[in-house]
Order: sequence, then structure tokens, then C-alpha cells
Amino acid sequence: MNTKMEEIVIASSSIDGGIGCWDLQTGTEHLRYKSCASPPHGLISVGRRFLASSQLQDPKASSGAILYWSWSRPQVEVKCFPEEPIKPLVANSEGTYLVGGGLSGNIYFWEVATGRLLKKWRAHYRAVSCLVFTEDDSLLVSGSEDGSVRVWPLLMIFDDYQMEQASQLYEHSFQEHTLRVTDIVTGYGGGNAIIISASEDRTCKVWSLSKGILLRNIVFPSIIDSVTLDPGEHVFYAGGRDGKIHIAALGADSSSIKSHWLHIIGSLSSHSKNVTCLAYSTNGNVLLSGSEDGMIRVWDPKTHNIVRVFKHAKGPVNNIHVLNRPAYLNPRSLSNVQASSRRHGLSLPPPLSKYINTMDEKVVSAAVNLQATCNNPLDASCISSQVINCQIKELQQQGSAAAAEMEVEKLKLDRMQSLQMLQRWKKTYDNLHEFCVDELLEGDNVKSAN
Amino acid sequence: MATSETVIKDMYDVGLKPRMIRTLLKEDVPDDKIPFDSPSKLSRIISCIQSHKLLSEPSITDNNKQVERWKSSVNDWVTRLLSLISKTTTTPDKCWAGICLLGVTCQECNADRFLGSYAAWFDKMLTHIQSRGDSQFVKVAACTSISDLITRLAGFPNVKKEGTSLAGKVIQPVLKLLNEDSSEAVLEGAIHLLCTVISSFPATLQRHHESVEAAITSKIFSGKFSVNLMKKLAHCLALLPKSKGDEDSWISAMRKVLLLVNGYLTEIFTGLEEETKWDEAVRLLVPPGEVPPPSLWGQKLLEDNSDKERKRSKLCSVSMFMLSCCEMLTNSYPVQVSVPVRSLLALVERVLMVNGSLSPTTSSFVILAEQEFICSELPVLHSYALELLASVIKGIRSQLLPHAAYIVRLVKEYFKRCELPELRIKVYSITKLLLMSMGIGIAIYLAQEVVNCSLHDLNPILDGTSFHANAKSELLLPPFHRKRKHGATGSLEQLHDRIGLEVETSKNRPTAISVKIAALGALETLLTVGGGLRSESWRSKVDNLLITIATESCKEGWVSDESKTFLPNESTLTCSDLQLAALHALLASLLSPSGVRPPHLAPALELFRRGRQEIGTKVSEFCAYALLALEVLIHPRALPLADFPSASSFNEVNHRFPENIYSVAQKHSNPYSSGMHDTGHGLSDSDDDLYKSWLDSSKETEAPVGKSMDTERPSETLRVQQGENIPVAGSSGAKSPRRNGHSPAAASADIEMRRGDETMVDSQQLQESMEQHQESSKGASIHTVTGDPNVTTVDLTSFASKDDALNSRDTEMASVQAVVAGESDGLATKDGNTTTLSAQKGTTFAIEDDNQSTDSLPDIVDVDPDSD
Repeated sequence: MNTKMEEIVIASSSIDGGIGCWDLQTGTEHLRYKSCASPPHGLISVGRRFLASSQLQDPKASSGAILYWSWSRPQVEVKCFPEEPIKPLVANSEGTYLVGGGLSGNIYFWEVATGRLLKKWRAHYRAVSCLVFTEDDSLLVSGSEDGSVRVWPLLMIFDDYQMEQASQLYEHSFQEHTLRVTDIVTGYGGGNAIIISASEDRTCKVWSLSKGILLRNIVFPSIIDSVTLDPGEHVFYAGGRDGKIHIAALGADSSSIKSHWLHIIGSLSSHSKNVTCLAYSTNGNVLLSGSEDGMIRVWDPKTHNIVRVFKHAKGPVNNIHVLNRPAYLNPRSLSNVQASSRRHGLSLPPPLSKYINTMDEKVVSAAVNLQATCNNPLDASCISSQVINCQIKELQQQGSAAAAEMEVEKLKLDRMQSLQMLQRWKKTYDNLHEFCVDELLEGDNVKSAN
Repeated sequence: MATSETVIKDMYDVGLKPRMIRTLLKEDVPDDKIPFDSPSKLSRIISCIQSHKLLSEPSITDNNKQVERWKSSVNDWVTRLLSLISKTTTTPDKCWAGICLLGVTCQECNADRFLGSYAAWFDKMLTHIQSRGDSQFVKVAACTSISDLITRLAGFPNVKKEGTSLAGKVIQPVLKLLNEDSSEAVLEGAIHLLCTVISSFPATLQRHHESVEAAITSKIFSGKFSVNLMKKLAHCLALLPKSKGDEDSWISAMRKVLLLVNGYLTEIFTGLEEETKWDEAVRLLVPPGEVPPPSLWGQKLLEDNSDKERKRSKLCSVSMFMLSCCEMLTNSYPVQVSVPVRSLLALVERVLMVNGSLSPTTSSFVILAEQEFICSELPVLHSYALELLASVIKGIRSQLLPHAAYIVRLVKEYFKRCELPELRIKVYSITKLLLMSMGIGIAIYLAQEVVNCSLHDLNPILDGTSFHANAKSELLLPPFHRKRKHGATGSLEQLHDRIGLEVETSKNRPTAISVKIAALGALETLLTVGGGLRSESWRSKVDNLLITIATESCKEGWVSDESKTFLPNESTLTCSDLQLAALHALLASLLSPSGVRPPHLAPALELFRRGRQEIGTKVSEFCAYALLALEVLIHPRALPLADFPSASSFNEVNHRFPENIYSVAQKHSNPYSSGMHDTGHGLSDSDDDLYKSWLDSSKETEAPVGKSMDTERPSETLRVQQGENIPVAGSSGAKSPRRNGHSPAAASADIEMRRGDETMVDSQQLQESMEQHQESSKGASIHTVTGDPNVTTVDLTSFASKDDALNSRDTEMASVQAVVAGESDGLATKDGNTTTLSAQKGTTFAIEDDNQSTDSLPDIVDVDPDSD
């Protein structure tokens, strides 16, 4: 019906304003998922199946909290209590793993389907501030309050043998930031991608994943809290605490713009307060920004105009995501959602466990969805014409027993028919014969009578 | 009316169809009077019906006479078929023909007719499955036709209930066929019907689950059927859990199969492996505290000693059960299941690690004959184990992560042992799967192994066939002799040395084409997925190898596919497949990111161009695609997805700020301007002589100016530039001192010039590029030209490449300019001397950077906020 994939925006705030959910094209608000106060980078949609968010805790709390919402109900459905407060949360694109960064600098790696904690490792000296997967989900990039950015090959993390051999687990460790890392994005291109990190030291740094070196350092007039990439990696957008979204050149020509700031080729501005988070919708080609004043602004990056505003809450918005609309979030059939989610076996997974289960230190099994991605009955093919052709071939060769059998059957029936025919002929003959004899005898009688 | 009866407009005329049906009925379709003399008649009827869509009458009921006539003729058609099937007096061949045609009718007729009469047709055909006296042909035909009917029925969502009850009637007769001693063809038909029922109406089988399972497994255990039928049985066994559709039945089915396979293997591998394997398997499969069942499906899991025949049948059923596991892992299933990955992998490892040698702990119990028997059967087992591994990778997708390292080690280990071509091909395909599923992360792990193995398999010297390989590759790749000077690892001689060593060690025999194709495929995937990251150690080796192979395989012209027509087996791989695989891998090697321009671009382009001319072959198709893909390498472009203002109005911006003519951010590099060549020159690795030589031949402008030393002309140019009012040091640090004429700056420039004593600014090209720029605002650059690559030079563009390794050339240029511009911008408010200062700084900066100090950029840039 709708040729264009519908996109929705989800957003959350550090003050409990719930998770807002809007249709990006029409601007209508869907459900508001209740009781969520998330830290920056703490809200994710897990494989588009459900929403998960880490929660801000009061500093004395001994354990953290991660909450799940299903798309169809506003209430929190699953509560998990990890070992320590978790700030950034990220899931791989398939939604099979959930990774959280702890206050202590540990990274926790859970399997979503079973809730098992598969791995936990010491990643940074201080709290992990952001986490992001690379394009192919095989590398994890983490940033920390101590200013370091590290790239973790996940395979290595799970390879106990290598872990003992290697001096360090990470592939790269970038130490050039002097203050807390606030945001990280990774670009397109597999091993050849770039990583952009923003920090409270008022710089954004562009790193090469393949070479592990700093490619570009860009100094901004204010602290940058969030960055997002233009899909063509022509520029990247950096949301600053001065309320502006700065546009910094990557592939773009920056020399033609007269600016005091190297590589910065422009800015989008209208925010009165800090820009806290950014997202880019490739579908509609718009830029979304969340601000400390609780508004979400949708920008046309071409004209620098605001095309739409969503009001989220009084408190600062600190997470925005743009997603394709999940099938289960359909306003016209909300009542069917429960039934359909049950049918698809998509009830929410069990809560995440706190500790690594020492009983099965080796992962013995994996909970796997073997559901067909596309259930098209038309794919089922009919085979009778094939079988017929095989049989015809067999018949023509007349070699097989089955073919011979059929021949025999056929001959038997032929024989039977012939026999019947023979009988009939015989009978006719007899009749004729009788008739003739009768005629002759009658003639004789007549003659003799004469 | 009468005319429409006689005159047909064309072959698409609707009026033609009923007439064709009637003709078929009159002449070809048998009945009591019409004899059925040749079976080929049947195939003619079917092809006529299918190609003309004779039975798909439109369902609209307007009073169109033609449609009415069509309908009535289809009615006649169906009546005739039913009479053929139901009369007891018809001969079996006519009955068979009737059933076959009814099966085709089930597919071809329109939906209304099908829904109206499927039940009646079903009943008619079912009697033939049930009846004892019918011929096998009739039974097989009835099975397939019913299966097609059910398949079609499953496509209608509103008849689920009727479908289920209908399919339920099939089960008992099919079970009877399975349990009777039917012939293979009948069994195949019955199994096919069963599979259709399970996948279309799974609920039907719920009550019969156990009996069906028993029937199928007993057939697998008997082991006396053809491989084809056995595979179908395994497939059906894998489908069975769907009939219940819950997690438990899937897991229990999987567990049973794994226990059985492990049990059988324990007997088969006695003496060839350690004896703890069975216990290990049980530990992984059976929950703690429980004991494994002694027997499954009436078969003992562990037997001590059975005769050879029994062992043979056991081996066969082990293979089939493994196949069944594969199917279970890759088929869809309605709910989430927990796959016992560990025990699956343990099983794979167990099989792969047995190579027929006696384990050291074995006593001399094992007789020689026994060992010989196992060795003869091992390749099949290994092949199925690899198949299972592939299915595990496919089935559990991203969840493989915790096990990936284990698999990598297993694959590496097996690569070393494996020699049979068929198995090697499978290992290559598994590495491909791994690379695709786990991306760059696993490429780091696997790269070396894949490269080593494929170098071994693809080595042209090992092949007696390619005699010229050595000389050819020497000819083709001159730069690599010089490359050694620079300490690059991938010298061709080293490669040959290595290969030479291997020649002695390996059994000198050419690799099969199919293995080569598989190796090329693996290399292609490796380059696709992990070409950029940590690839320095193997990249040049692989690039060389691939261009050599591609040239070699295409040297003797292009093999056409025609010879394949008469080969009995379609899957036979020939030289043309090798060419295609080589070209595929070559394209990947060119496109895969690396620090330098692809060294073999020119010969590769030549190959692709030649290949494209072979119209109508796969090679030509692929070459056309390759040329398209490579076009981006020749004309690099970085077009923004968003219509970004500064990019779209780029030309305009340049007109507004004419001083920027030197600040070339090459948005759309123009290969025809000499500026572009030079930029490329500066950027490409300075030791890449092949590229340079290729480049040199196409460029004449540079040579005459390169040697002349003229200090005046650049400044002249610059004065011209000044005339255009340049407020900033718009170009390079090396130039601005001369413009200002300050002695310290000149001194530093002198130093620079002494260092690279043939360095100069090519003013001619400057002007040239300036003109070009004004016309098209396309690329041109400040550059230094050096006669001898060994002389150290201050080369702005190469400085750029070190400073900023973003692969886009434009970015690099832009960034240099921006650095300089930004700097002087920051200082512009101060007096005239600062300009010199900044210029000087620029110079030193450049020199420093020439000394590989990559840190200098952040340092310099950090000046900015301070001065602000």
C-alpha cells in the first residue's frame, strides 16, 4: 500500500518523561512508553522487536537497571538489574546481543534471547560513556570518561585461547582526547570505515579504522555532545553546548568557506539551549536534533530550515533514534498486536542476568530464531510435470520393472478384451453355423416332402 | 457466430483455446476408443496446455460467448479425465495418463474451478493410492498429483480447515505405502507427498507423529536405498518436528539424532580416536543427572561389534542423520529454539579429526581390513561433517559469535590436513561463509590462512599446464624487484622462493580446476570483506597472484560455454568457469580498499575490455559490470547524498572567491587535466613504479619542465595572483615567502630547495591548471615535480596524504589548503611580519612532515584556539 517505508522517531529524556514515539512523516504521536529516565546513549530498539533503556540511578544504588518495553504496551514489561549502573546501551543490528557500559569501566555483553551474561571485561579506567557497533557488527567501539576510545574485535573477546596469548584485547586504543568522550559514530565501508569521536575537550577527532591513526582533528567553539554523519559522509553534524549544530567537512570542500574554525563549514542554529542528541533519517533526508529545552527539531539540511518540531517533555531530550516502523506498531490494528506477537513468538525475552553463570562457563547452546523471513506459499513448486517427464522417459526406454509391469497389465487387459472378442466371434459363428444347418435341413425336408 | 468459429485472428485469440482443447480431446487424450499408443503424446499434451494456458479460463461471467465456450470445453476436459481415472475397465496406461493430466489441471485451472472441485478430484486420486492392485506408475502419479493439489490448496488462506481434514486422509495410506515393501519410485512419491503435507498443513500430522517417525527412521536404518531416496528421507525427518511446532519437539528430535550419530560413530571409530568421545558427547547432550537412552527407534546406540555390512549401513545412516541435522538448522521453524551448538560443533570436530590413523592408545585389535574399510568411507563422512558445519554457520547467524574462535581454529587445523579436492572445496566455501557472516572481525583471524592455502592451490608453477607462468609474471610485474628496496614484504622473488619450497614438500601435482575456483572465490570474499584492515602483510602477494592468474587463464583466448552442452553433468566446471572466477577475484582485488592505487589497474582494464567483446558469454557480462565498477576508480567522485549547499554551489563559490583557484578541493577530478595526473602521482605510493610508468606514458606535459630551474617564474605567477587580490596565503607555505620577499622565508625556502635540489614549482602547470580551473573548476594543484623519485622532496601533496589518509583525494587536498589557510587566517590581524611567520611555519611544517612525523598536524592545529 505504502511504497515508502514509514519511519518513526523515538526519544527519551534524563527526566522521566517516558519514551516518545512519533511518525516522522505525519507527525502523529503513537504510544508514550512510561517511566523512563535514560542517560545519554541509553535508549535503543533491539532488532526493532522491542525497546530497551538503561536507567539513571541515584549514585548510591548498588545495581543498575535496564527496562524493556514491547511496542504495543506503554508499561514496562521486563526489568533487569545488572551488577552495576549501566549508562550506554547498544544492540547489534539483528538484535541478538545487548552490550552495556558500566560505571566502573567494564563492558557487559548479554545474549538477548536467554538473558545470559556472556562476557564482561575491563575496558576503561573510568566509566564507559558511549558504545557503538561498526557496520558489520563485528567490532565494538567504546568511549570513556577518561578520554580513551577503544576498538574491540568481538571475536577476540570470546576467544579465551587468544586472550591468554595477547597482551591486550583491543584492536586500537586512541588516547588523544583529553576529556570525557561524549559521542562516537562509525562510518560506512567495513574495514576502511572512519570513526568520529566527540569529546568534552571541544574537539571531534576522525580516526581511520584500518590504519588506527588520527586523520583529522577539528576544534569547535563549544563542547560537542553529539555527532551524526551525513549518509554520503560528505560532512558530519556536531551538536554543541552553544545551541548550534555545526557542520564539519569530511568529503566536502571546506576551503571555500571563510571561517575562523578549521573544517567547520557552517552551522544550523535556533536552539536556545544545548543540542544534546542528533539523528539522521536517510529516508526523508532530514536531520533531527534533540535539545535541552525538551524539543526535537527536524531540519532540512539543504535549506537549513526547521521543517517540524516535536515536543517531548520539559526535561532535556538526550536520546533520539529514527527507525523504520515495526510491523507491530500499527495504530489501525493495535488490538491484534497481542495476538500477532504471540503468534510470531515475539513475547519479550527474559531479563538480563547479573552475573556470568559459572555452571556453564562455556556457552552450550544458542537460542535461535529459525523463522522464515518471508513466508510465501507461492514458492512451493509443483512437481507433477517433472515426475511425468521422468515416467515418460522410463516408459520409452521400457527398461524398468515398473514400466514392464504396466506393459504387462496393459497386455493382460488387451488379452482379456481379445478373449471376449473371440468368444463373441465364436458365438456368432456358432449361430451362423446353426442357422445354415437349419436352413439346409429345412431345404432337405422340403425337397423330400416334395 | 459462424465466422468466429472458423476464423482465428492470431495465436492469442481467445476463440482458439476452446478449439485447441476440443482437438486435444478428439485426437490425443485417450479414452475407450482413442488408443494411447505413445507416452510422448502425453508430454505433447502437457506442453500444449502449459504454453497456451488452455485451462485458465477467466472467471468473469459476462455473457461472452467465447468465454462460455471455453468454459464448457474445460468442463469436457475434466469430465474426460475423471472418466479415465474412475473406470475400472481402462487400461493402466490410460489411467496413469488421466491422473497425470489431472495433476497438471490442479496447477493450471483457475481458482474458482479448483476450489469448486478439488475435493472430488482428491477422492478419485486417493483411491488409486489405497488400492492394492494398481500399477506402480499409477501410484507414483497419484502421489505427485495429490501433492500438487495440496500445494495449491495451501495457497488459499480461507480453506485451511478443509485442507487439514483433506490432508489427514492421506496419512494412513501413505504410511501403508512406507511400511509395505514398496519400490523406490513409490517410496519417493509417498515421501514427497508426506513432506508436502507437513509443510502445507503441519497440524495434520500431530497424531501420527510417532508412527511416521518410526517408518522413516526404519527406512534410513535399512540403508538399502539409493542416495537420492535416502536424502529425501532425511529431509522428511527434518521436517517432522514442524508438525508439532513447539520448541521441545525440535530439541528432542535434534538430541535424538545427535545421540544416535555419536553412538554409531563410537563403534565405527573404535581404535581410531580417543575413547572418551562418547562420554563427552553425552555430557553435552544429556542434562546432568540423566542417563542416555540405551536405544532409539528400536536401534541400540552402542553396539560392540557388528559385521561389515551392518557397519556399512550404519555409516550410511550416520551420514543421513547428519544431513537431517543440516536441514533442521537451515529450515524455518515457527518458534525460537535453542540449538545445541556445542555438541554440534563437537560432533563436527570429532569426525574431522579422525583421519584413519590408529590412535596411539589402541591395542592391535583393529584389523588392517577394518582400517581400510573406514578409510575408504571417511571422505563421505568428512564431507557431511563439513556440510553440518556450514549449516551451523548459516543457521545461527550472529549467535555464532561465542563459538567463532573455536570454529576458526577447527577450520585452520582441517585446512592443513585436507587434501582431497572435494573436501578442500567445501572448506573454502565454509571460509567464505564465515567471512560473510562475521565480517571484518573474522577476516583478521582468517586472512593469513586463506591466503596461504589459496596461494598453494593457485600456484601456477605447480601446474604443468601453465608453462609460461614464471616468465609471464616476471614480465608483468617489474616494480616488485625495486619494491624490495623499500622493505615491502611482497616481493615476487620472495613469493617464488616460498613457492619453490612448497614445490618440494607437496606432492607435485596440478590442482583441480574446481579447487582453484573455490580458492579464487575465498580470496574474492576475503578481499571484499577484509581488504582494508591489517592486510599489509598479504595484500600485495594476493594482488600479484590474482592478476597473474587472470592473465594466465585468459591468455589463450576466451573459452566459450558451448562445449558444456554435451557434458553429461551440468555441474562440471571448465576453463570458462575458471576464467570467470579469476576475473571476479581480480575485480575484488582492484576495488578492495588499500592505501595505494591498485597497482595492476591498467592490465586488468585491458583484460576486462577484451573480455567484454565475447558477446553472449558470462565472461562478457561480468566484464561489462567490472568496467562499470572500475569507472569510479578512474573518475573518483564523492557526491553528497544530501544536496549539500556548499557542494552543489561549488562552482559558484569558486567564482565568487577567485583566490581559491589554488585551493583545489577536487570535487570532480578530471582525468584529462594534467593536474589530476600529478595529484595521483603525488598520492600513489612513491615506490609504485608500474603505476608511474603507466602514468608517464600518458603524460607529456611534465617532462620538459621538470628539470629547468627558474626561480623567477613562480614569483611572476604569484604576482599575477596578487593582482587578483588574495587576502590569505591561499596556497602553500613554500610559495608565500617569495611573494613577500622576506629573507628569512627565502632562506627557509632555500633550505628546502637545497634538500631536494631539483624541486621546483611548476609554474606552467600552475597557469594551466588555473585556466582549467576557471573553466571547469576541476582539479589542479600546486605540486612539486621531481625527476628522481629517490631524491627527498618537499611534496605538498604527499604531505597531504600522510596527514590525512581519508581515501578521497579531494579531502586530502582540501585539508592541506585549509590548514594553511586557517592558520594565516588566524594571524591575519597582526602585522605584516606574521604573515612571513606563518609562511615559515608552513614550510617547516611541511619539512617536518616529510620526515614522517604524523603528529605534527594536531600540534599545528592546536595553535588555532590559542591564537583566537
